[in-house]
Amino acid sequence: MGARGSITDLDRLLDRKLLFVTGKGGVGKTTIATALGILSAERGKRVLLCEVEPKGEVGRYFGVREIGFEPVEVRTDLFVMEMDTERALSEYLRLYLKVPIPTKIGPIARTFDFVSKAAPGVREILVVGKLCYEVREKNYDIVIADSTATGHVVSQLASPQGVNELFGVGLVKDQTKWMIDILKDEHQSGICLVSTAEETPVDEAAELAERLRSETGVSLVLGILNKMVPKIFSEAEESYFNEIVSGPMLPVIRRVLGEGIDALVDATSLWKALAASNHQNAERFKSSLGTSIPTIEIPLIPGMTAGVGIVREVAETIEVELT
Amino acid sequence: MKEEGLSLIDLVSDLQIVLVAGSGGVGKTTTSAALGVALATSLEKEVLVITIDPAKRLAGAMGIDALSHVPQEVQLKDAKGHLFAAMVDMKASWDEMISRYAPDKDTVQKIVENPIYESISTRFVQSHDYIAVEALYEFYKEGIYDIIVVDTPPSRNAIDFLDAPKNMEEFFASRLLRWLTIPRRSKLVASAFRPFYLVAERILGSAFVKDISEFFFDFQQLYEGFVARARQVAALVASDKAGFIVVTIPEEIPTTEAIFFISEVARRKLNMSAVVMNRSLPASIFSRAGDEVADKISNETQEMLAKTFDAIGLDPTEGEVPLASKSQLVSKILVEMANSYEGLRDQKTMEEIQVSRLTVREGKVFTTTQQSGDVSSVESLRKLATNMSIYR
Repeated sequence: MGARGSITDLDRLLDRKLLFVTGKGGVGKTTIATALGILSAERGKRVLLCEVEPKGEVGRYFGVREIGFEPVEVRTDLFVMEMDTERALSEYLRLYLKVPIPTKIGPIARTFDFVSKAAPGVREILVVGKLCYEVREKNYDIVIADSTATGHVVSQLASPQGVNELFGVGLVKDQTKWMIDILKDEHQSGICLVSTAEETPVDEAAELAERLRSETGVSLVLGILNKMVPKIFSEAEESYFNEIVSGPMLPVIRRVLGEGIDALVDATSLWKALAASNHQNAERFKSSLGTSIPTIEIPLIPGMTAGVGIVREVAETIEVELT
Repeated sequence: MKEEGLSLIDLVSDLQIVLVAGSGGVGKTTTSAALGVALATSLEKEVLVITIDPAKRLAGAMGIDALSHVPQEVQLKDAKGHLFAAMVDMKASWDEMISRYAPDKDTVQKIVENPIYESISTRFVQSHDYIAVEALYEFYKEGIYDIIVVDTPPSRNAIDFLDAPKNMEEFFASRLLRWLTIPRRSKLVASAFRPFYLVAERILGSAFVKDISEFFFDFQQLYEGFVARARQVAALVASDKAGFIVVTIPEEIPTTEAIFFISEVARRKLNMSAVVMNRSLPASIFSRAGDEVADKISNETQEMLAKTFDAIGLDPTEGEVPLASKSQLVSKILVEMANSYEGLRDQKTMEEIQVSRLTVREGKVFTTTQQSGDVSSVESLRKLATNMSIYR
């Protein structure tokens, strides 16, 4: 496709090397991350999409059953992998300890897997380290992480800094510097915070945004409100709707169209209530992120469950909203 | 099988422990609180709700500024029993646990002052699950409460909670712990493991390896207390005094997780009480007559609208809006009404698919029409629980 004319917000977003997509469980992180992956690949970028807490969802979207630590090209230029800290650890040991024979890695890796379970920050830094490594080696144009839910992502993103401070000396400490350089550079790394426009997810998103700011130093670059029930009426339409349903017009319409019009009135009232509550929470979300961070809204697609169809529609919405 | 009139409260009223589980974002905390309110209202019992990290507004809805580690009474009007609420405080629970099991004050101090302890007690992910179970057992043992409702922690996988006692026991028995504590136990053995420590120190740094080694050496002295407790907790959860309520919403992924949880509960021969599906759409909205009108508007727009305008034209309603734009308005409004109806009906269809996936595995599925932002008071919590209806 290529850029025509000016650089769009979408270009700026996807020109980064490392994007973390995060938010409370159930808000649609995987769908958004996958949509961003598709949009990047369509722009001719070589993309690595990583499911940090693998549930096999991305694979299911593309009809690929077994996706593991080794990236699989699910469509042109779009590679998908599932994070596996044990595998990340043996890769790390092979790369940095230069253990020559692969068979010898096994016992050492197992030992360190034990350590990584108990030693704070080790597991987290393996996740972030693997993602940063792919960026540093320029294996891909962009790495998109379908990250962990609220809370845990802070520990992950803060782990290079934390490990840097906690570990007096050693190889791990030395390894944190370049990771911090990538993570804290807002032109290279960014976080997309996803929420639904509901009470608790918005509360948690606001809290998360604050913690990401104060504890990680990684920039928040985009807010996404997913599954928004859109408003259906303008102010004029709204007041005329009220006039219709409460005045003498409704019986007339009922006579022409049938008794069922009452069900439509109920459904419309419920829809309006949902939309109003969504709208109110959306405003809270935007103000908690601050005006400098763009926020986009993705409408609910009634009756659709997560899957490749919905990813396609979400990708199109993101494209329109950020262009 | 006719199950009309069956209520969720009846199902759990004979239990002593009600474990509320489900994936994140399905309304688990709200469901737990609502259940607590309803139980204390209708039964002459002392009810305690414990939660890990409640939404602030929920504490507010229960009339409490901030939940704490110590149970606080929730003021209920016209209640037969009493309701208390508490929040599990990770750090405080760890501190308590260490002092309970450590052989002496010296050991407590050494553990608590180790730099590793801070990280372990606040960030060690698996420990959240264990602490929740541990806190539950502590309250249970006090014997003050007749029913304890537990809002289980939002772990990556709801099932981790069930395995927490076993995992803690395994952790204590693990090779990891033996390896880590070798330098403290024996200089002689330590030399045999020198290569391991050289590599460990090279990667992690010597100070860190020393901290870790010391921490786990001290920590290991808590083994017996921990393991005995872990077994008691596991036995309590497996007994017929405890039952599970699995919470979900009408979407595919949370429902898939709920189904997985149900099968795990069955596999472990635990006691499954019911499924609660929040955010269900009220079935009463949808009818054949509604479908027909929505169809008419969507499919026969021109003809139907002409008829409607004619009819409305006969109506003597006066307005400032001229007739031409009035008819445009009416047509827009009618089309949007049909869209709303059809959109919600599509959602309802998807919901029914999720419900039927659940009912083949667990017959008792209760639904609530709770939407986000619905819960603002004890009264609304009570309504939520008493309005739960069994899905037929």
